[in-house]
Amino acid sequence: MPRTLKKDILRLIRTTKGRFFSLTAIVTIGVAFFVGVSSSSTIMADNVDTYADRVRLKDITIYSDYGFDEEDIKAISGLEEVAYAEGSKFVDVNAAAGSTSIITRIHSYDPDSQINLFDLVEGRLPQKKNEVLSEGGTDMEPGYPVGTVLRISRPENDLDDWLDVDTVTVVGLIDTPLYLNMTKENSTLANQYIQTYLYIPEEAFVIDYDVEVNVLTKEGVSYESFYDAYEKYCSRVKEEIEDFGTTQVMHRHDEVLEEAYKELNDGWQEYYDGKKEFDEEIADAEQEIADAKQEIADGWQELDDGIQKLKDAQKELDDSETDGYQQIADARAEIEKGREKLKEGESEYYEKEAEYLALKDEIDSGIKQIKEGIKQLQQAKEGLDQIDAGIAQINEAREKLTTAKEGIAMIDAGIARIDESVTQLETAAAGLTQLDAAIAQMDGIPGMEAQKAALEAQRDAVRAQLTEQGIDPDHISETVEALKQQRAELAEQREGVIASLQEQGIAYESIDQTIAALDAQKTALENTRAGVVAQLKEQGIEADQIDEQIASLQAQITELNNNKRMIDEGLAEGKAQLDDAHDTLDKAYMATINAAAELAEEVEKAQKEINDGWNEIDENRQKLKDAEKDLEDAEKELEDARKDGLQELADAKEELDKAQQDIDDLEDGSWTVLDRSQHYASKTYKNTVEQMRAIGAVFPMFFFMVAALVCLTTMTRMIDEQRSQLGIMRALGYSRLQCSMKYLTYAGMATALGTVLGTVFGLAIFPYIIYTAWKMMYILPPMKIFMPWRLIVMSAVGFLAVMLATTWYVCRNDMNDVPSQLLRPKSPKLGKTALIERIGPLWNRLSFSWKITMRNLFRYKQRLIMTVIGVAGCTALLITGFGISDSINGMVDIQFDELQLFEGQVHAEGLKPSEMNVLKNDLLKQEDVSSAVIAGSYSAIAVNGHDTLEETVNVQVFEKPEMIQSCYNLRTRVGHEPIIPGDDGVIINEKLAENLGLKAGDSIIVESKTGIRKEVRIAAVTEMYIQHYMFMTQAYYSKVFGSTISMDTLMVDIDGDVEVSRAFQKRIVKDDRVSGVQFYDTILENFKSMVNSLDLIVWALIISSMSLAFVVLGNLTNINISERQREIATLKVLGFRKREVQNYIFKENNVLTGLGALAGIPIGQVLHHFIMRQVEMDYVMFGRTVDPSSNVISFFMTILFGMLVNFFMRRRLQSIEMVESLKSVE
Amino acid sequence: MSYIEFHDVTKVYHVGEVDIRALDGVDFDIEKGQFIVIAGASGAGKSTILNILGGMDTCTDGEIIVDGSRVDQMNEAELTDYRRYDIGFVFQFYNLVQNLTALENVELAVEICKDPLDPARVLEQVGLGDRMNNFPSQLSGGEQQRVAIARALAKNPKLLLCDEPTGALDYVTGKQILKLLQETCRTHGMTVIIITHNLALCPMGDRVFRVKSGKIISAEVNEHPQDIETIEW
Repeated sequence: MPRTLKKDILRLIRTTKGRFFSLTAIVTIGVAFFVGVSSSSTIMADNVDTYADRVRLKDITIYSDYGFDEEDIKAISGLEEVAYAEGSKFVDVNAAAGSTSIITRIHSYDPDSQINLFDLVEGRLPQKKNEVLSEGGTDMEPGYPVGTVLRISRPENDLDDWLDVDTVTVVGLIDTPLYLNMTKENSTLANQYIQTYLYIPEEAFVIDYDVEVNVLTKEGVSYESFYDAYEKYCSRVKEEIEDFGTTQVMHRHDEVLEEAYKELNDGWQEYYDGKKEFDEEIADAEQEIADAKQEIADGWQELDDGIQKLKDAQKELDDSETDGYQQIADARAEIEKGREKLKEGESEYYEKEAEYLALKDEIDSGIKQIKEGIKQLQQAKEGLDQIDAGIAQINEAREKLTTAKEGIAMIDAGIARIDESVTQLETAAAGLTQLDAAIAQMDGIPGMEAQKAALEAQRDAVRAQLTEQGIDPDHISETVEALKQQRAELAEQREGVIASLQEQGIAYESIDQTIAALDAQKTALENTRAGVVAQLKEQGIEADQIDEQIASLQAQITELNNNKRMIDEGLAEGKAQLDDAHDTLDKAYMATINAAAELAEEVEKAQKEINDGWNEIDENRQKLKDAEKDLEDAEKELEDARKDGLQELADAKEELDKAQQDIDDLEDGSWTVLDRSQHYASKTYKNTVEQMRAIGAVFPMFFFMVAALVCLTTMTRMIDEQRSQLGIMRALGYSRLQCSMKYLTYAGMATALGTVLGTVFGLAIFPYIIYTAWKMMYILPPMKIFMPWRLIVMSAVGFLAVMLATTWYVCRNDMNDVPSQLLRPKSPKLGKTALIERIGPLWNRLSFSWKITMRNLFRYKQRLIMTVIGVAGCTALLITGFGISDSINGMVDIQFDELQLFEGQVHAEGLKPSEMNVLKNDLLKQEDVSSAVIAGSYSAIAVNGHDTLEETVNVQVFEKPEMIQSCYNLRTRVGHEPIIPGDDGVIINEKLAENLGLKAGDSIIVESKTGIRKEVRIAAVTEMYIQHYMFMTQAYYSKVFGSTISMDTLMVDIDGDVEVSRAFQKRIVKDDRVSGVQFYDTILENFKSMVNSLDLIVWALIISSMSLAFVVLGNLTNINISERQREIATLKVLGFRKREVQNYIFKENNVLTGLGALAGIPIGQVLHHFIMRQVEMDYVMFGRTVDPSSNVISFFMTILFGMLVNFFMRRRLQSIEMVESLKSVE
Repeated sequence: MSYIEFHDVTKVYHVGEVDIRALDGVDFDIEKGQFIVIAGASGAGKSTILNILGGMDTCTDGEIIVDGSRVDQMNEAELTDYRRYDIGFVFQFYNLVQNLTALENVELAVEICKDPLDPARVLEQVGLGDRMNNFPSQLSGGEQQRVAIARALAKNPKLLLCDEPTGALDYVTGKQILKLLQETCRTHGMTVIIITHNLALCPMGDRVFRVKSGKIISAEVNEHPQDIETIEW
């Protein structure tokens, strides 16, 4: 390609970004949807296939009537297409954690197992046989958590036959592809679903054969599990195994037979042993009875002896009692005597006591007198002492006064002496001085020495005299001074003495009078004293003997007190003697009382013994009587036992005969071989995968188509615009191909880019949403994306082809023109009168703007068709999306609210019709039960007559036709015409009829409860959505099968919500008569979660449709506007207002959108119907109609999208420039 | 005061970083009922004058008065109304709506007017009485231009603006169209402004403005405008 051309293309892309983008966008959406949705089913399938391969999920399971042993498994392993076979065990039980018990399948867990492995998601593997693995479950419905302790039981109480543990602990949680669903297959228990599963170490099983054999086929792994090739291959292997089974089953059959014979022989042995034992026992019993009779006779004899003995004892007791009381009476009489004597002694004592007491009083008064005497004496003595003291005082005072007087005199004398001494000394001193002076004068004067010497002698004499007197002649003056001092002191002393006298009230001057007064006082006192002494003398008491007198009086008192004490002691002694005597007598009396009590007690005891003896006698008599009665009974019993034993032996013999018969009747047995298409988890998951595959197949087609349309319009417009350029290039000599290449490359690049983006977005979004949605229902491994190369290539090639073909188609139209023609403007599209104009009355009635709109619509037919198809597609997708959710929601609601008038079944196997009625009435009595209808029900295979199509169907047989109506609302789906049941045929559900290709009036082959296949007539086909049903009356059943069916089911309607229903179920299972319950709440929940899953997918669809609508409408409007730019500019010049211009253009858009949306409604119904048929499972019929409201919503949503697009396009209109647009011809 | 006045009108286009002065101070005035010819070479600015006068474009600066209204001050909605009620436009390439018949094209314009003329009568006046129900593609260029003129006239505007009305037409047809325009002016008293690069047409105008480089370089008054019939080129 020339370089300039490349440059031109890139520039073209740059200048037409919007257009390039819309092409890319539509391809992106288309590819994203195609790759994303289509790959989802593949990814779902591949993930689980990989998962199953990784854990070696069995391809085929074999069950046998007789179980399997090692040899069987070895033989199966040897089959050509079998890669590996392994036996395992399982048992269905009720497992209870706390109070709720749920149906649980317990599988055997063998650590060495190489098939049906599982992923441990939490905890550890079991090591002991009471440790189990539990279901990992999902967040919404987890299994038992690790550590849960479960009690397990079997409704038939035969758990011991299966397991040797009844309490297990969960130690780990696992995921396994064996159970992908929350809901699981039917259990072997009373038609109830398995709710969860456990794995327990194989050692816990007590059965010695394997219950199932799991088989891996040689090539199973290399096939993809959810595709037909795999199923085809597996069913081939299945047939091989089935063929082999018909002979191999005999191996176990023979073994079982052998065992049965062994058991039968053991039975006979037991029978004979039993018979022997019976005879022996009877003989023993008879002997025992004879012995007992003898014993009773002995007993009577012994009894009589006992009576005699007791009578004797009674007499003896009476005698000894009399004696005892006599002795006590004697002793008491003696005590009475003693008491009288004591009384005498006592009175004596009291007399003496009175005497003593009088004496004591006397003594007391004596003492009192003496004490008074003493007091008087002491008073007298005190008086005397006072007088003496007064005299002494007076003497003292007198002496003091005398002394004072003398002292003063002495002081006066001292003073006088001192005065004299002073005079002397002064004289002496003067003399001395004179002498000294004379001496001194003479000194030196001869002659005078003698004189002088005399004088000196004189002087010395004086001095000596003085010295003699102790006076230092040299210091006479000092001595004089000292003397003078002394004199002053003395004078002072004198003053002091006088002062002290003065203080005593005595004047020194009157001191002599005072002394005289004192002397007078003294004399008076001495007189008084003499009086007192004389008085005392009168009383015979010498004054100086008073103290002795007092002492002798006190001695008298002491003596008297001693006397008194002696009297008291004597009295106390007497009293004590009396008390002692009393005591002794009382004790003696007490002793007699005790003796009497003891006697009474002993007598009583003895009497009691005797009475006991009598009682014993009575008892023994009764015993003997009882024994006699027992003996009678025993004899009777023996008779009965003999009779029963004989009966039992007869029964046993009969049973053994029957067992013999059973063994003789033992059938050959057969194997049931199931591949994964009959494995619940794989089967349901495959359904889901197929549903997704159906959705993935249909929806993307729309996107393909729409993408082609968008491409067509876009490219047409583009080439129109580039017409002149094309002409120039052609004129310059570029070839047609080269010219076309530009546009092909343009479209190709947009497609390539869109494919890449679409793949990326598609794979990133859709599988994730869809897988996550289904994870709500299934326990799936984490999602791995597998690159769906096939789909990517398919979509890339597909889109490229569509885009290039469209582009080529558009190019070719223009390329055919010669360059000169191309250079000229394309002759404008001719204005034409539309067909509608011919219809005068209509056309004339239209407003002018409507006329223009109509004319324009018909002018651009291509665009009209394209828009209508695109919009219709969008509406159809919306309707389908909403419809899917309507159908499923509607189905569940209609099934459980409108069609099925009861909530569950209560099974009571083995009850007689009358008992069944009682049970029914019991149920009806319960508050929460609003109705109960008796029916017979079983599950059977139904086959259509012509080919081998078969389905499992719930057959329900009712006593009367009306009873069917009270349980089911029978009606046709279309028109809701009621169906009246009768005795002339069966009524089946629509889906069953459809699956088997049958209709009312045809016949269908169905099994009886016992497995006999007979043809029955289909009387009517009724609306029913979940599971297959066949209703008939007992009359018809017996007419067809020749026997009646046991009516062992009650269709129960509960008055209340799920909680009430659950509570009722829990309560009713405990009833012994009830063998099982089956309620629909589980199914309901299952469907609800499926609805939730699908809702998510529906929303993905709706959002995709929305984006589709935007791209289609947006693109078309955009092209419309650019194509008519000139026209719009002209309108603007003419003065059309904004709104008028918008109206002019968008009116067409709105009409087209409306037309498209209307056209989409029927397309939506068809598409929805088609998809629902694809999505349906074998046993479920979804609602086939879209709810009117969904149609309305889809219609208006589409209109809304159109209006939104218009809204965004307004700006485009606004931006059109008048001047620019009108400048020249394009 | 004149019927139409331009005072110092300028128009500047910004193309990238370059300013192009399409009009550089245009001044003129026109009286009611005049037939005006604006002549000039391509790119001189005559179309810009017409676009601005017709309310299809706005001026950058200056004053424009039409019948007493300030057109330069109108907002978009007012301009739309101005175009709607006061202006009739005739383009070089007719700009008819291809999907509408001649009559419908006229009706399209008339639909939104206050006081329109009868579309059929106007078409008869322009000589298309028998081709009313033809689509544009069925008409010749001259006929299409007649439809365009009829569409403009039927609105009964104050001004009839014609941008090179004969540019796409042959000599004879062009002459007929010009004649039609001149007659319209004369008989209806309509103010007609035509743009042409053909200087030969100048004598037919009551007034002739010559435009060069965004300026009016001359404004002549023909006291005796010639009849188009007499002009040859």
